[in-house]
Amino acid sequence: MRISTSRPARRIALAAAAATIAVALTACTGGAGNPSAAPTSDKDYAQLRLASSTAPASWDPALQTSAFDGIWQWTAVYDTLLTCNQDGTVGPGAAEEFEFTDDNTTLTMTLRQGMTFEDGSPIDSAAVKASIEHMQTGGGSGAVRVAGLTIGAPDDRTVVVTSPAARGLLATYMCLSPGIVASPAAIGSPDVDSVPVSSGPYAFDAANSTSGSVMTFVKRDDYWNADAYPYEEIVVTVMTDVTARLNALKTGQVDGAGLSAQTVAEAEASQLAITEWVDATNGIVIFDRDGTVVPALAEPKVRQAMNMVFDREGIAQGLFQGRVDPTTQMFGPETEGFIAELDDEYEFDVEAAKDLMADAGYADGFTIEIPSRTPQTDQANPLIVQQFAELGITVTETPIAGATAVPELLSGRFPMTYISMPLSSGLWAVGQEIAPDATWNVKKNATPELTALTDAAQRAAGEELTETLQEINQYVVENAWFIPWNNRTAYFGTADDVTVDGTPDPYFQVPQLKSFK
Amino acid sequence: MIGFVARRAGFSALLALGVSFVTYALVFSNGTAIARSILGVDATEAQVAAKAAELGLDQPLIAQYVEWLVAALGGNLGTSYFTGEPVTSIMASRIPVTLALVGVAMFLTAILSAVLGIASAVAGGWLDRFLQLVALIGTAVPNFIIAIVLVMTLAVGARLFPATGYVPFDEDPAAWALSLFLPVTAVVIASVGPASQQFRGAVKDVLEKDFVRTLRARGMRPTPVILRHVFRNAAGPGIIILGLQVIVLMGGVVVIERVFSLPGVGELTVTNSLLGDIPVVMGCVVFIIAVVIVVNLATDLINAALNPKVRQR
Repeated sequence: MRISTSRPARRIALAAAAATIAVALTACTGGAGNPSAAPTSDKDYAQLRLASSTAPASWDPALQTSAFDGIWQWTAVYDTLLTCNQDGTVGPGAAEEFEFTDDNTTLTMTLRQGMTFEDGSPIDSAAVKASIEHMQTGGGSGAVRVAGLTIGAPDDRTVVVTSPAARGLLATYMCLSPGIVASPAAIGSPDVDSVPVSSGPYAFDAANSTSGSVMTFVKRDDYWNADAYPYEEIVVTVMTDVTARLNALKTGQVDGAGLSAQTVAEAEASQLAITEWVDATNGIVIFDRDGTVVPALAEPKVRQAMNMVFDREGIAQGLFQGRVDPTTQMFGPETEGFIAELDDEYEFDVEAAKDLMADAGYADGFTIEIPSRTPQTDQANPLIVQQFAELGITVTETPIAGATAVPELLSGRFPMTYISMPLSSGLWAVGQEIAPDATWNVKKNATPELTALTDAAQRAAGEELTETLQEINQYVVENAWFIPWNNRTAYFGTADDVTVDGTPDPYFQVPQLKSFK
Repeated sequence: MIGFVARRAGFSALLALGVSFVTYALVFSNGTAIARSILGVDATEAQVAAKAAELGLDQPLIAQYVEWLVAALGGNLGTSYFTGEPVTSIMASRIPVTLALVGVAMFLTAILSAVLGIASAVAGGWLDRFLQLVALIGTAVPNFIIAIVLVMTLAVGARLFPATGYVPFDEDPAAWALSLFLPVTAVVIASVGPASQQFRGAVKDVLEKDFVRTLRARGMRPTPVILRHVFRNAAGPGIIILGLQVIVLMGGVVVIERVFSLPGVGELTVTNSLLGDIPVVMGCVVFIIAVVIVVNLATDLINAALNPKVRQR
C-alpha cells in the first residue's frame, strides 16, 4: 500500500529542504573574514612562518638530530661551537677560532668573549665541556659521534677535544647537534625535555606555542651573531603532509616549506620560488658483499652485472620526471672524491650483464629477498624485480614498516635494499656506508686495501683527503659495492618576498634559519 | 533505567580494558626497535639496550601493561618517549581539535540528515529521487576526495577559507569557525548521505503505520503528525547510524586532519604509532575508547528514552 502525502505535508517537506539549502548557502557565504583579504605585510622582518614536516621533539640537547627541517627547532635555541658552510666546510660559531691538529685527533676551540645563555649565565668552557659530556651520555643519536672523546677546559675560553683515534669529521660534528652549547643548569634539570634555555639566536616563546603543532621563537638581541638573523620572530608549524605544506604556501599561510618531486611542478606553476639541491643518492645498497646470505653476491662480476641491467636514463625520466641526474657512484658531484668519469662505468647492457653472470658461474641466476617499505620502495621494487629477472635472478619482497623497519634493515637479514642515502661530504659517505664500522655497511664488509684507504682518509686533510676519497670511490665503484641509480634533488619553496640565501649545507640538508632573507 | 545504565557502564569498562590491552600488545611490537628509533641508526647496540632498559621496554609485556594501567587509573598516562612531555598535556592540546571537528560535523550531520530524510520521505516524487541521488554521491565519494576538492576550490582558488591549520576558539571564535569550515564540510557531505537515507527509510516505514492514518483521520494537522509522532518513532535507526558514524569517524579523522593540517588526535595517533611512542599512542587509545563508550552510552540512552521497549532488554 502506498501512502500518498497530503499537499500541506509536501509543503513542509519542501520548506525543510529549502531551509537546509539556505543554511548551507548561508554557511558558504557568511564568513567572519576573508583570509585573502588580509593585508600583505611589507618586508619588515617581523615574522617568518615556516612549515615543518617533522613533529616537535624533546628539548634535551642530547636528543636532537642533525638533518632536515627538525633542525629548526633546536638551531633556533641552541648555538653550536662551529658552523657548517654551504660548501661543506667548517667555520667559526660560538668558538671564534679553532685548530684541528695531531692527525685529526685534537680539536682546540677558543670561545667568544661575553656570551650568555638566555637566563644570563655565562657561556664558558665549563659549560661547553658539560654540554659535550651530556651528549656522550644523554642517549641521543649524536652520542656515537662524540663517544670516547676527552674534553679539556684549560681556561674559561679554551676547549680541547681529544679523540683516541683519527676522526676526520670531528670539527664537522661540532657544527651539528654534538656541538650544541647547552646550559649546565638546564641539562641537570628534570625539565630538560620540556624547557629549553637558549644559547642561540632565538628564545622559545611557550606562551605563543601549541604543543605538538606550533612553535614560536623570539629573537635574542644579545646573541653574538644576532645581525645574521633578520627575522624578529619565527613561527614553525608542523605539517606532515606535503600537499598541505604546498597549499599553505600557495595561500600565503606560511613563507617557506620543504616540497617533494611530486609537488614541485605545481609549486613552480604557482609562482613560488624554488630552491633545489642534490641531497641523496637513490639506488640499491648491497649489504651481503661477502655472500653470507646469498653466496653469488660475493662475486664482483655478479654485482657488476646487476649494475648493468638498469637503464639509468630511462629511470630518471620514467620514475623521477627527469628531475634527477643518473650516476653510478655514491659520492655526490659537489663532494670531494667525486670522479665524473666513473658515471660511465656501468652502461645499460643486458647481454653483457648476462655474459658476466655466466663468467661468474651464475648463468641461471639465483634467489634474493629484498625489503619493501611504503612509500620508499613502492616505485623502485617492481623495477628491481623486473630487471633482475633478465639475469634469471628471482626476487622476493618482504614488507617491513614502522619502528621496526630500520632495525630490520640493519640486522643483516636482507642482502640488499633500495634506499636513498643522504649525500654530505665524501668523508661522511665513508663513515656512513663504506668504512668497516659504517652504519650502512651492515655486514661490516672489509678488504685490507679498502680499510687502509678508509683509515688514511680519517687522518688526511686538503688535497691528500681528496685523493684518498677518490681512490675509495674508484674501489667501491669498480667492485660494485652499490647499485646507484641517480642523485636525488630536494626542493624548498618560499612565497612572497621571502628568499633563501644560496643552497643548504650538505649536513642539515635544509635552509638554516639565518639563510632566510 | 538505573539498572540499564549500570549494565551498559559495566560492559563499557570491560571493553575499555580489552581494547587497551590489545592495543598495548600490538604497539609494543619490539622494545629494542623502539629504543633504536629514539636513538637513531648510528647508535650502538649497547646504547640501544641501555635505552630499552631505561624505559622498561625490556620487561615482559604483561608487566609493562599492568604498570601502565595502574598509573593510568591514577590519572598518569606517562610521558612521551620522544619529547618527554606528559601525555596528559599532549592530549589536552589535541583533544579540543578533534572534538571540535567531530562534534560540529556530527551535530550538523544529525540536523541535516533528519531534515533531508523527512523531506525525502514525506515529499516523495522528484525531490525524493533528487535527494537520494545526492545522498548516493555523498556516500560514494570518500571524504578525503571531497576535502581535497574543497581545498583546491574554496581555499587555494577562491581564497575564502584557510587551506590549513586550526585556531583555538578562545583565541578567535571567528577564525576558529573559518578554520573548521572546510574540514567539517568534507565530513558532513560524506556522512549526511547514509544517515539521511536511514532517516528516510524509517520515516517512510512509520508513515505506513496504522496509528499515523488514525491521527490523520482524527483531523490532526500534518506538521504535528510528522514532528511529534512519526519522527519520534523513526528516530531510533537514525540515531544508531549517527552513533556508528562518530565511531567510524574517530578512525578516519586522521585523513581529514592530514589534508587540513589540523593538530588533532588522529594525526597524533598515526605519527606516534609509526614512531613507537607507546605512552602517547596509549593516551590516544584511551581517548578514542572514551569517545566510543560515551557515544554508545548516549545512543542507548536516547533510544531508551524514545522507546520503552529498549529499556527492558
